Amino acid sequence: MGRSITRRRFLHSLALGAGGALLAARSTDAATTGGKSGGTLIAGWEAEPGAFDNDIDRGAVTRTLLHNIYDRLVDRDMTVKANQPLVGNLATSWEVSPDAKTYTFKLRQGVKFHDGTALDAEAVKFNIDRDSDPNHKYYNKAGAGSLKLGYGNLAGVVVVDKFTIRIVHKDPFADFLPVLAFGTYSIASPTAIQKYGNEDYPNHPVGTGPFKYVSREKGVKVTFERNPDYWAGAPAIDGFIVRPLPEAVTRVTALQTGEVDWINAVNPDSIDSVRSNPSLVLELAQLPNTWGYIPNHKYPPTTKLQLRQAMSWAIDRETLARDVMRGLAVPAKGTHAAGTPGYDPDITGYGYNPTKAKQLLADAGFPKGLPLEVWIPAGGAGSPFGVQMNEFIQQNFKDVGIEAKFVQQEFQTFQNNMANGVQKDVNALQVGFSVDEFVNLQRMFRTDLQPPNGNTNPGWYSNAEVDALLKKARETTNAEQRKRLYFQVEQKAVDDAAWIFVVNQKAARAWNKRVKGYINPNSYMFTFRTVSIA
Amino acid sequence: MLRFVVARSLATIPVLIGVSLVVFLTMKIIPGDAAEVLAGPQATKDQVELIRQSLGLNRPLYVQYVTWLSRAVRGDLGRSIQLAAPVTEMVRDRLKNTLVLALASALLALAIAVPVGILSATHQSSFVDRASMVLALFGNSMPTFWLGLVFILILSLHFRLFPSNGMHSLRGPAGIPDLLWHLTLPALALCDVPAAVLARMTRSSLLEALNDDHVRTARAKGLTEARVVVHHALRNALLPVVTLMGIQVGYLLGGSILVETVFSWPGLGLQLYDAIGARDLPLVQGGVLLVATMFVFINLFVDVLYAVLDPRIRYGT
Repeated sequence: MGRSITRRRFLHSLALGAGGALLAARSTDAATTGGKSGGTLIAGWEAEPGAFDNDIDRGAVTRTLLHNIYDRLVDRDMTVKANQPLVGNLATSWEVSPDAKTYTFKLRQGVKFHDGTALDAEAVKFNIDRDSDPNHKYYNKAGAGSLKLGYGNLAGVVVVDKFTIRIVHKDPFADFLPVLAFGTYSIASPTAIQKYGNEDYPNHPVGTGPFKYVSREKGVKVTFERNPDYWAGAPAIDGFIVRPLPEAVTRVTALQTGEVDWINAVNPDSIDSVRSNPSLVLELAQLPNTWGYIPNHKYPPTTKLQLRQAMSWAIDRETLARDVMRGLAVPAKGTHAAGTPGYDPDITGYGYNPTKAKQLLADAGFPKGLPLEVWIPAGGAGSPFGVQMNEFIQQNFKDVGIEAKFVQQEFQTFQNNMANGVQKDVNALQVGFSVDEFVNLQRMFRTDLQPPNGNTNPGWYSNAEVDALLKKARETTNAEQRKRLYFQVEQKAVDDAAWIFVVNQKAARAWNKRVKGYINPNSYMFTFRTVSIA
Repeated sequence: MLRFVVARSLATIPVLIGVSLVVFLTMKIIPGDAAEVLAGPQATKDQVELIRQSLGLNRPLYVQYVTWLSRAVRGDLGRSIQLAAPVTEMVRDRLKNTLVLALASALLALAIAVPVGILSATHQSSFVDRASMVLALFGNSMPTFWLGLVFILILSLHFRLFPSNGMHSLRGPAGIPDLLWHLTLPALALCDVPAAVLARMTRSSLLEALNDDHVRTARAKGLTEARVVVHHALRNALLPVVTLMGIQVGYLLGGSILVETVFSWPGLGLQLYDAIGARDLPLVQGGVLLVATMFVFINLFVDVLYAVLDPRIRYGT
C-alpha cells in the first residue's frame, strides 16, 4: 500500500518534471553541456547501500549516495575535478576566532528541508547536539562515535540568532572546516528525526540536497527525485535510480546493454572492452587513498630508520601500478595522493633502488637480510588487488634480503588488532586508508592518539618535532601558514619512513554517452546534480 | 501412517535446536561484534562498551542464546545493523523472490530432465543417449555462477535477448511477461544441476522399469511401445525422481546464492551475500537460520512423501 503511494507520487513528480519547462530552464548545466532536461538516470551500484543515516559512516558505497540528498555547513565542491575547493554550503560565511576555538557561521536563508520545514540555526544545533550531547532526547550513540573527530571536544553550541550559529571547541581546532565537509556531517531535518525516531529515521531520510529520497526496495532499487527548489539550482534530470549490482561482470554488461546509464567500480578485466565501446565513456578518478604498510615503531627491528627506508626503496611502485594494478593506481610519493587537498607536489618520496635498499639494510645491521612478519587484512574495504599487490611486494622485499611473511587476517580481526596497536612480534600492518585532508595527518602521526586513545596511529609513531608541528597547525587559523606546517609534517613522515607509502588507488567509473555533464571528481564522492540525459 | 508422521516431525525438533545452536555460535565465533560495527572505526572503547550493554552482548552466552531463540521462535530476528530494519521483514520479503526463482528452476528442470531421460532410456546406447548423458555430465559439473556469466555474455550482451539483471524492468511496464523475461536466464542457470541429476535418474530408473516383468507382460499384450513406456514403466520409474526432486528443491534454495548474486536477483541469496560483505551479523544469522530451517522441513516433507508412496518405509524401523 505504502509503496504504491510513493510510486504514484514519484510518477506524479515525473510528470510534473516533464511538463515543467520552467523548472528545467533554471538549470544552467543542461544548457552548457548540450543535454536536455528530464529523464531518469539509472546508476549501477557496486553493493547494496546501507541505511541512510546522515551521521553514521557506512562506507563510501552509502556516503556517495547520501551526498546527493544532504548538504553540510561547508563542502568540498564536487563539481570540480581535482583539488576541490572548500566552499560554503548551508553556511554562506563564517568567522574563526584567533585561538581557533570558536566558529561562527552565517546560514543560508530561505533553504527548506525536503519535508518543507525551514533550515535555521536551531535545526543545525539540533543536529550537532544529537551527535554530541548524551542528554539530548535524540542522542545518537553510533553517530556520536562516527563524528567524534569534529564534535568530540565541544565546549558549547550557541544559537546567536535565527541564522547564526556559534560552535565552540575546548581546544584549538584550525582544521574544523574541512572536517565539517565530510559527508557524515550532513544536516538532517529535525522534524523528520522527531517524527520517526533515531531507529526508523534512516528509512525516511530528509535533507536539503539537490535530490529527494522517494522510496527503496532493498536489493532492487532506491529512487530519488529532483529537488525543484534546490538553492543552487534544481538538477536537470527528473531523478535517479540506484540499482545494486554486486557482480562486476553483470554491472558492466548492464551498462553495455543500456539497462543502466552509469556504473561505479569497473573491474580491471572489463576496462578495455568498456573503452572500446563507442557509446560509452570510461574515466579514472584518483581516489584520496593511500595504500601501504604501517611499520612497528615501538618494537624492534622496524624501529631502525635505515630498515624502514630500505623497505621503502625496495618496492618497484611503477611496475606494481602499471602491471599488477593495470593503471588503477599511481606510485605514492608521500602521505597524500595528487589531486587531494592535502597533497604537497614538492615531495619526491622514494623511488625503486634495490642497491640502495641493500646498503641501508647493511647499515641497519642486517647485511644478510632479515625476516619480517606483516599482517594483512582479508577482504573488507581496501583494495580489490590486495593479494596480488602483497605478493608482488613480497618478491621485491625478497630481492633485497627481506623475507616477509604475510599473515592474512579476517577483516574484523584485523580492525580489532589495529585498534589495539601493533604488538611485539608483528613488524608491520598493511592498510588502505582514505587520506584526503590535512587533518588526517593529525590522526596518523600524533603521539597522544596512539592506541588505546585512537586507532589511526596503530604503528605507535612518535616524534616530538612532528607533535609540535601538528599542535602548531591545530592552532594556526591562517590557511596558508597551516598548509606550510602540514607540508613540513608530510616531508618529515616521508624522511622518517613513518609509513611505507606504496600506491594511491584510482576508481574506474563509466557511463553512457547519453549522460551529459557528469563530472568525475578525484574523490569517493560525486554528484548527479550537474547531469542531464541527451 | 499418522504415527510415522508425528514421530518423524518430533525428530526434527532436536535437529532444529542443533541448527539454531550452530547458527548462533558460528556468529559468536566470528571475530568482532555488532557493537563495534555500530560504534564505527573512531569510537572509543567506552562507547563500544555502552553499545554492547544496550544490545545485551555482555551477558552470559547461554542467556544470549535463550533470548535470541525465544525471540526467533516468535518471529523476531532482531534488526539489521547495516540497513536499520527488522530482519524478519527483510528476510520474508526476499524469500518470496527466491521461491519464485526456485520454483521456476524446478519446473524447468523437470521439463528438461524427464523427456531427456525418457529419450535416453528408450534409445539406450544410441547417439541421442550418449549425447544427452554427456550433456548431463556437463551440466552437473559446471559451476552455476560460471554458467550464469556465460548466459549473460552470450544471450544478454551479445544477442540482447534477455536482461542481464534484476527481476523487473526499471524502465517500462513491469508485469508478468516482464517477470518471465527476467526469470529466464537465472532459472536456466540454476536448473542445470538438478536437470542433469534428474535426467540421469529418470534414465536409469526407467531402464530398470523397462526390464520389469509387468512391462514384459504389457508388451506381450501387444500394446504400443509408447503406451508401454508411458503407462506402465514411467509410472513406477518416476517415484525415485519425485523424491530426488524434493531434495533438489533444497539445493535450489541453497544454491540460489550464487545465481542471485550473478543476476542481481533480489532474493535471500543476494541478501545473504550483501549482509556477509557488510558484516551485518543479525541479517546473516536470520537468513542462514531461515534457509537451514526450510531445509529441515523439506527433508521432513520428502520423508513423509516417500512413506506415502512406499508403505515399506512407514512400517519399517
